[in-house]
Amino acid sequence: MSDISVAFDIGGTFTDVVSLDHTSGRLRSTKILTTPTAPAAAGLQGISELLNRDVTPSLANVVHATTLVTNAVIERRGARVGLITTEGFRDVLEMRKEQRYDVYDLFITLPEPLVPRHLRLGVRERMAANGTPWTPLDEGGLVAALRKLVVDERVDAIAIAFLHSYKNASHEQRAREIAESEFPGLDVSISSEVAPEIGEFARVSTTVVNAYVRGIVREYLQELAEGLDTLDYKAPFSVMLSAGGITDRHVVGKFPVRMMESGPAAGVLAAVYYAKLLDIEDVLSFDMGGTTAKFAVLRGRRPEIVGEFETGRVHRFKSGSGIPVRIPVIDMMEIGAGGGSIARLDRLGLLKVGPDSSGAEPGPACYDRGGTHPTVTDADVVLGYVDPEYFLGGRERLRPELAVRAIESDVCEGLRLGVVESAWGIYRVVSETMAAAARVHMAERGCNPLNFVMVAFGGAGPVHACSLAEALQVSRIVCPPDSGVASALGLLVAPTAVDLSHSGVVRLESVNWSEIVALYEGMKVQAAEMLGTSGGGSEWGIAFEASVDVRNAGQFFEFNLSLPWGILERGDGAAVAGLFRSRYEELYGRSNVRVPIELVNWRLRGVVPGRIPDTLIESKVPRSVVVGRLSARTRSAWFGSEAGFVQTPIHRWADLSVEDVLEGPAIVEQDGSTVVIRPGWSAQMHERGALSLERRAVSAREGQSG
Amino acid sequence: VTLEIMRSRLEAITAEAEAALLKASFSVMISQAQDFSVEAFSAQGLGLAQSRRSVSEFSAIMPVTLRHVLEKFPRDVLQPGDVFITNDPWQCLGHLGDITIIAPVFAERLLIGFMMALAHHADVGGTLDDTGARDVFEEGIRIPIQRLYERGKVNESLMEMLLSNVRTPDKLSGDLNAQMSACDVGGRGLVGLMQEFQLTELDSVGRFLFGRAQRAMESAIGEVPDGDYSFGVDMESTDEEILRITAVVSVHGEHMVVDFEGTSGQVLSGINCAWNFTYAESVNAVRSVLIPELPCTEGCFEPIQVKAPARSILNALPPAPVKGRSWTGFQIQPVVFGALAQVVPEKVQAHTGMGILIAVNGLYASGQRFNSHILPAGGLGARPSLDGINTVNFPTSSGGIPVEIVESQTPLLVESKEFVADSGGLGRHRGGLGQSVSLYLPDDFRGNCTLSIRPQMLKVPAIGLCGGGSGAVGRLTLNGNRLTRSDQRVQRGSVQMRPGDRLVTVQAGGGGFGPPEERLQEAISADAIGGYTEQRLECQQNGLSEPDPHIEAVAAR
Repeated sequence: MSDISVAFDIGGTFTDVVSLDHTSGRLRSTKILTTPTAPAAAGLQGISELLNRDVTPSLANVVHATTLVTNAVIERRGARVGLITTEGFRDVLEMRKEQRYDVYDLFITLPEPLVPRHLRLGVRERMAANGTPWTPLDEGGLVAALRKLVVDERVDAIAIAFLHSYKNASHEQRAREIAESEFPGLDVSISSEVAPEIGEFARVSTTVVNAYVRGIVREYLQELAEGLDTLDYKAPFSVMLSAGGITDRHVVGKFPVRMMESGPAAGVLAAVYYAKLLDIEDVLSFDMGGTTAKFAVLRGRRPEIVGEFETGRVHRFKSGSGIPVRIPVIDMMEIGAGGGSIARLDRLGLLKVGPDSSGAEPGPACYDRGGTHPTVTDADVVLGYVDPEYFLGGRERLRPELAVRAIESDVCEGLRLGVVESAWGIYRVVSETMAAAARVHMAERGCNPLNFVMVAFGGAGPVHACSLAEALQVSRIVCPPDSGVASALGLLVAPTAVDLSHSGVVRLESVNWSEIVALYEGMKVQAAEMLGTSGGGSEWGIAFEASVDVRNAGQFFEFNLSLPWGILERGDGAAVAGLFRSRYEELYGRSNVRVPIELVNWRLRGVVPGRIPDTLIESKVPRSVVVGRLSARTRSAWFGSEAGFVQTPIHRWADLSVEDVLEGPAIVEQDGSTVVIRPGWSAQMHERGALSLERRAVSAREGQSG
Repeated sequence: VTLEIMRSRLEAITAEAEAALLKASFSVMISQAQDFSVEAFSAQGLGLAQSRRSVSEFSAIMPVTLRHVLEKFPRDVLQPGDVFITNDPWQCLGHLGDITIIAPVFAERLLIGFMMALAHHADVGGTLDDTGARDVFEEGIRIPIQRLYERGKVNESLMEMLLSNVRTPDKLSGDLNAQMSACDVGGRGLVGLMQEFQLTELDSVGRFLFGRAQRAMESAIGEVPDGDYSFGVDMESTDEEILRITAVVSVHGEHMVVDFEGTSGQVLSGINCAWNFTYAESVNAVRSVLIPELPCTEGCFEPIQVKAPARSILNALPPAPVKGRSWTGFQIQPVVFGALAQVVPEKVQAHTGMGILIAVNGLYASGQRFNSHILPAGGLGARPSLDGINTVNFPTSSGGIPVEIVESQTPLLVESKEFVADSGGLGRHRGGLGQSVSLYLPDDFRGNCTLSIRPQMLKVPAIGLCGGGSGAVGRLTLNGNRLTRSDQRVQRGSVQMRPGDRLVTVQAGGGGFGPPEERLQEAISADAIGGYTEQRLECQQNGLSEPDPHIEAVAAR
């Protein structure tokens, strides 16, 4: 009888499934094509595939992440939603920020609102900014509006968002009560519950998205639960939230909007896990897939949680062109740089890579699926980094001659360079593009890349990690095994956690601390409910962490400050001011003592310390028998015009033993990725199964020539 | 390829500098309206990169400002640690509120370049009324090019002088600090870049980028058929007098001239444009139409010449008041678009409905001061292939302020904020809708509350292009009565609100594009279902132009 945890991550193209046997520490994984019409099916298929290899498996739990919510918004497959607002404000959803997201482009478009104008109705009621009722809720008007939407317009779900409901939710709560008694079974989302934060557009928008995807998510969870039942595995299953905690499926059923970024969040947790295994403090998580690269800064292995995220962008990489959702989400930066990113010459005749991507279809030219534009993967093939015969562990074959042709026609001529030099240019430009983004992201958070260790994963991550690290002057990289399914692995190591927040802009000197303590007590009860723990007081077994978003009064950018309970309970404003100033100086170099401090959002995180296995990965990497016994297989790979093509040793990941040291240039092939160890780097297999790359002290200039 | 890498690195350097400015700033104009620019230059003053969120117009002017600085302080007197400051409207961006910080960057003892950070400050003294000054002296403190820091040491007297001339000295010093941080960060980046790439100078990179941008713009102009294309719009002044802005855009091969001959003369109100602002708006209009994706460096403006008669409202000379320059300056792009519509109609946009800006100031009964802005947008002009967006700002990139924030910062109650049906100009593509906003001062309020109002397009609508109709004009009422500048409740552009007062502003709609009879039936029905059109529906269906282009908007409720 073995005790097994299973995790799966339903992506746009692939569903990754990972299983972990807690007794033996054995980890297994598989990749299955996603089934968009019945998203649970691929996951279920993967689970049975993995479990059937065991004789008497016993499923301990199932955790998963999915892009279902995001895709429903992008593909507009959600419910028909009716929106009820304070009278006079039904257009808030469509007015947005009254701002163009691209100042140069005269032809911008905005996403269609998820609720068209004729399904948005105002009802008489009003709260003042301080939370006192100004106009009572017109209950008759509300019922009439509900009838119009539900009976005449046949909406499936209702979103209710009144002004200042983050301050006083009573009108929204009463409205929901009426809606539910008038139309039993109707899906009602209210903004004071979904996103109780100041700023009406973002709050309305989030509430609408929640209502929009709730039905789909409910069906999906149902399908999954029934599927697991038929598999005869009576295991509890839980879901990853965008902030990196896992939670009970009932919470997700109520607030599906919170699982929007669950996949990328899981990837970050995998990076945290490897950092812990290898005892690394400050981590730059680098996840490069087919379409995008994602970065997250993990100071002390801690992901930062931010309050807003944008989905369904009209222009994928233009901030402001999408639908904002106010949910707790791991602070990440995503840019259009992946294996499928397209290279071309811009209007200045300079080489540019991305942000547009050839996607999975038609894919890079060398996939031979009709793609004719050169991509990063095409360059990687031409440079000899990626073996055309061993793509996805040999399951796919690539056609290098198509890569050459695409680069020749789109890049070589304009640059007046040969095909290899052009490919080298593509490789360097995409690395530099990512470096630029990562550098700004880190600078904005007061981090110096020099002190960080990069954890590189995703299909294209390990291929580009060294050159990115060089551009950032990062001198150590860790590549996990099975980089391709790292996100699914992150699910297995995630803590059970929820994040809650509450707006209440107040100057530090006028904080009523006993009110705040009461606020936190209320939030703790809500968190305990969401975490599915019963009982009270410390019996909950939940570790609570409080934090607050702070800024100088008059500024518009907040940062998050964690608040020790002692300070909170004592109401020690001076201590808060001290914490604020030291963090402010870290971020911006200087602080201004004269300016008052403002507290904006109170946040609470509740974590149930789970059984996070320290030895999750089977630590069974064999010791090397004879040092230097490693394979003599080589391939010529290009490392800049000074070096030219170099006969480079090629290793299989599985053949590496602990303490094997590889001197760059060298290449290590995994099923889902390839680690390119550039000249100047050396790599060693860690006993916990990750490859650790170190840069020898060299001038930054090396390898930049060409 | 190294150049590509360097360009990308330079962009990252300015992006980091921009992050430093944004996060440390205090003024809403910087953080929310994003009215700023951060740019890096080589030692010879060639543009290297402009930060991403910078206002595009500014990059046409920053090199000009830098040249003025170098005339006064030649390169050989510059020292590491020096920082220069100026806000002269005729040397920088056309009004005192925009203060530019210029920092020479040294590697060891060698001058390698400059960092410049310009930002719109919350207050520079002078009148609170954007347009009410009679000359520039009433508009605030004017800072000629001065050394604010000498070898890292602040010029205390200058700083004291500045801070004692503004209403919010903390914000001024905080924002100046933010600008200097941006220059520090950018300067360090430039030095690091040179070390990493073992460069001895940055001028050759600058020259390369300048040349490439120039050639790209030349070839874009070359594709436009030669000829003279003229266009003009009416514009109301603050006295509701009708002024005219006209331009002739002449294309000769790969060169273009924009000439504003025939434009009305300068006026005794802050809506005048100093030359630099006119130039910046003009060249950017051309760039937006012909080659919007071109990175913004001075080189792309080289093939374009701009002329405006001296003492016209587009080339006002000192000491003309210029604080509210955008009133007039924002008409420049639509005029250039109108001219170019004759030859590249597929690339332009009809005139946008201008919003009514409102600044709220006052004291609560407790004596606590409050201030905020309400910036409701009008409707965007229609495009050749798309409707105008409802309620969005143009050409400025700034956005609105949430109602919940306005109400948290002021005693006002915003009673409604809704689209105004029928306010978009008719056309194959409809102009964007304007909005109506109702502001109420509760009758139990016991303090003092002043609204400074800048009403635009109350008489002259945003006009359509290529057969499209005009948008509806805006409207301003106080307790149901039309409010004009001569009303006794209006003092220097401001209304002292009394408890129980209700002020309603209706922002103008955008102009339409193309003949209304070409509008697709689906679009007409969609407008009707959503209630975007009400009365005008019939005209649309019958393929008629609207009955009266100056039709006034009907305020919702």
